Amino acid sequence: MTKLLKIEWEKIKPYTFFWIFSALYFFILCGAFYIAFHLMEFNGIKATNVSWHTITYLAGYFNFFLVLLVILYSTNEYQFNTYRQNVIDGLSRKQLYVSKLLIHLIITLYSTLSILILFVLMNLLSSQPFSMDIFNTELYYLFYHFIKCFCLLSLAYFITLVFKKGIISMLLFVVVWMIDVVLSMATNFSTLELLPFSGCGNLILNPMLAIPLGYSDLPAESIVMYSVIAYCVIFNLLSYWWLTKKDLKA
Amino acid sequence: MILKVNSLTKKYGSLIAANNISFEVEEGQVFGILGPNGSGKTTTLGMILDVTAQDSGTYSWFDSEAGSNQRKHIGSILETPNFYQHLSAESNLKIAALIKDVPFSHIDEVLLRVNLLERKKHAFRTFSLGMKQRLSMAAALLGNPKVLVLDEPTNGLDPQGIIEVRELIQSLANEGKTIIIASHLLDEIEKICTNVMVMKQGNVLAAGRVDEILASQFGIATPAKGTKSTQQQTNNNQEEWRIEIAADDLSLLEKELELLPFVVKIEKRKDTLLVILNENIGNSILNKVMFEKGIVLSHLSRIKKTLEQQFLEITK
Repeated sequence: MTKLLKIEWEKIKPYTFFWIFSALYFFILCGAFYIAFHLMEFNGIKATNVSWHTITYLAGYFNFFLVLLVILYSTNEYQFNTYRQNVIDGLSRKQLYVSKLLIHLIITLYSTLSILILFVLMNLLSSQPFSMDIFNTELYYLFYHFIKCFCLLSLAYFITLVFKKGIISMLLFVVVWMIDVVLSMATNFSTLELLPFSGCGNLILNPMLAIPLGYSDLPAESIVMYSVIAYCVIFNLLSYWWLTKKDLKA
Repeated sequence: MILKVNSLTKKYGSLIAANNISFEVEEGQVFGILGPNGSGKTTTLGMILDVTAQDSGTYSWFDSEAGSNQRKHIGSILETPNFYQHLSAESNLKIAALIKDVPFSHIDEVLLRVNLLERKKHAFRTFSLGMKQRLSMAAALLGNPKVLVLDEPTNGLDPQGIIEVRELIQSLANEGKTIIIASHLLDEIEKICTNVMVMKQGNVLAAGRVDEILASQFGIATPAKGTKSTQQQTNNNQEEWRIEIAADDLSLLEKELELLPFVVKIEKRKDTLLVILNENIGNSILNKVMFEKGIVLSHLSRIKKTLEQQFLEITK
């Protein structure tokens, strides 16, 4: 595993785009959170009302940054035909899959840690006195964010494996997302609320709406969570199957 | 045995890219796979390198079941040079070295061997095609592998580059490395290889030693369908020998030649006659026959068929 990480590190180290994009993600989150905190304070509400729920919900909007990163990073390998070369040089197809799985986990972890750090930082910098209580309430939303983000990256990766071209994969990702959302919104069939994108969306509901309106017709939170975890497994199994059984060609 | 391929078949829909391919490569051979574009050479190499999934058939490297570890001891180039555009030559080779479990200290050595050492810090995308191809060779040489698999290694190179790569391959062959090389350039195979397998439209048409294939005239050296035999199968109806012949009086020579029973055809060239015989008549006999008729030959030579002619005939 260390070897696979070393190989990926050699690929990413001089990849300027990757670093710029990752930094950009952090700063945009930073800006978004700052605005959230500021607005809350501006409205006279205590900053502590900005919860893990609010912040992970907000961060969800920027997951597409990470999806884009994964799509571009993976299509690079197809474009350069280096998938093939890695295998020709002696990597097994399983190792090929595991190295990408590790990268997706690291990106997801990076996103989750960014949220954690920024939330603590915002609390420290806010006019309210800092309280360790923030770690006692709703911390599980960080875990929700983790599986939600990982689920989306896994789906993006599988689409990229199948369609190979960056633009097509991105468009397809959006199309799948739209179909998913339309299906779950247009019907009253609550199982459709568990489709990948809807499921991810329902895992961390809009906190502004969740409290006053309620989402009584939605599947139970635990079911949504398990379904998202199931999607993570399914998408990864599909990617594994694709990488180990299919021709590796550009 | 370095490589044993058993009935590998690959289909793309209704197109059979490789049909029941079997061959063996022994240690120290320079094994050429010759065929026009689209004949299934790359598909075959792709299968033995595990990037193309075969529909049926098996292969084994080094007498053991195929696996990724064995590929670490095989230096391969498949089609175009495949490298990360944004990485330098050195970084690209670092990735290959990590995969092959070769120490980074070997990188300079292989870069020197292909004349790229002074460009090692430059990004791959700034390289010319020839340099990219040479970097592929460098990557293939990492870890000093016993076996090299080279797919069209001189593709896209200028004449100077072609000579350099050929010399490199030749010197590697002299070091005793086993080399499997695919090419559509007959000349290349003829110059480098000890053995050759001719492919067309996914099928093996002929296989054997290069000199046997050359010597077999029209015949196909071996059926190559999973058999080890390299015996020649010559087709008697089509056997012929070519001779270039000249004398001071060409028209008299032609007249006399026409009378000989073993002469099939005479073609007039500028200062010589090209004579096709249906029997292997030795030069001395022919000379004697003509001398008895009062003709002194000023020129008499046998025309050895090149692999090119042979190839065109086989794939016709």
